[in-house]
Amino acid sequence: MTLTADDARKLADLFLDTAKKVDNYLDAQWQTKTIGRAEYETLSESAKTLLRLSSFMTSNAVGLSIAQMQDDSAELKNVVKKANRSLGKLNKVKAVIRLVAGVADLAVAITAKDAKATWKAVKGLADELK
Amino acid sequence: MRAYLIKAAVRVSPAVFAALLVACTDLSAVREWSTTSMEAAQFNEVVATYADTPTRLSVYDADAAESWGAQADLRVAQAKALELQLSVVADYMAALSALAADSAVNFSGDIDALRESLNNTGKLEKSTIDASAGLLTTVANAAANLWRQQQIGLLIEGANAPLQQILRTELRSIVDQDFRRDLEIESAFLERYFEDLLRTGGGSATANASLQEWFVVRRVENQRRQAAVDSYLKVLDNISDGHQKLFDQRDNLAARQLAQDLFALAKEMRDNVKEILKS
Repeated sequence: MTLTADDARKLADLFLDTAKKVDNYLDAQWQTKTIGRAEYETLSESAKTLLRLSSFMTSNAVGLSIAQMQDDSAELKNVVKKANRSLGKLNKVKAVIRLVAGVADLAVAITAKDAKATWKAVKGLADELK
Repeated sequence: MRAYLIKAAVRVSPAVFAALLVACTDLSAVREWSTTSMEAAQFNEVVATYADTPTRLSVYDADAAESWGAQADLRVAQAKALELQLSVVADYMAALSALAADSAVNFSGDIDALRESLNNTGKLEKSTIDASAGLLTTVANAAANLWRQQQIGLLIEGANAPLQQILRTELRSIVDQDFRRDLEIESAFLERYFEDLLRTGGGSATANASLQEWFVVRRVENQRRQAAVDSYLKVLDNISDGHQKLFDQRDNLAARQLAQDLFALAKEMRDNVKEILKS
């Protein structure tokens, strides 16, 4: 049986809750001075072990969740590609309008036999066609 | 030619002109909300905090330093994967914002340039060119607007299911449960570490006083990180709610109530981001 992200979370919560119970027990015993140093240190170490396990299980849960997100993420990426294609089409319309303006500029410059203006118009048109 | 154009314009039915006017839809609320969502989604300090936790905890649990080191390496890789997921959400919001921008469907500048170029040819009457350019601007902008609305509707329809799945289930669980639990674990480790030192460390009164002070400092840092998680969760919920509203109203994106809701959600998100920055 494969561990799921939710299973990992349940285990992580269980370890953390148990660690907290050990902590509360230690605090109560320390307040009433009914616990020896050796026993205190043993229980403190147990609490830390439980906290480590909770943290490691949390890492597992996150890893499993990330894996589960891949398909939805891929689907969203496809939508982004479509959006960029739509934007591209709108930009193409603008480019075509500018292209026609560029052709008109070139026609004017050639008709006027203006070499400098012709060069500028040709360069402008080339930039639009890039 | 001029007379012909004027007669042609007059013959176009009023209904067409009405349709052209209606086609110019105000999507400023969609743009504002999607831009804010794009920026807010990238405020992912909570991911960096999660990745750094093992390194911070190794200070309070030196006996398990090697294990914490291995956890740190694992979490760095997970943080990169999470940031990639969030960037996909941000990219989608950026695309939605760009499509909703008025500049995307405003060809006036380009047609003005064309008008000037055609005037310079001297082949057509200026009044003819001006009339044609005016009509072309109106038709081009309106046609693009209608097409854009349709495209945005289709995009929202295609994105909603995967986006909600990411935001409401996996990502939400990670932030609300895993990141939160991680900080609770850190808090418990702090308590254990400092209390053990204070109780059994055998330090002087001065040393213990200094320890107490550090205990308070670390506890406040931990509480600030927990507050950042709360704020980031609100950001994710905001993005999820906003997009659901867009999906529900995708056939009427200019609806007044939708615009009000989106502007309100955008403001809330900016406030949440300010809270994240404070922590």
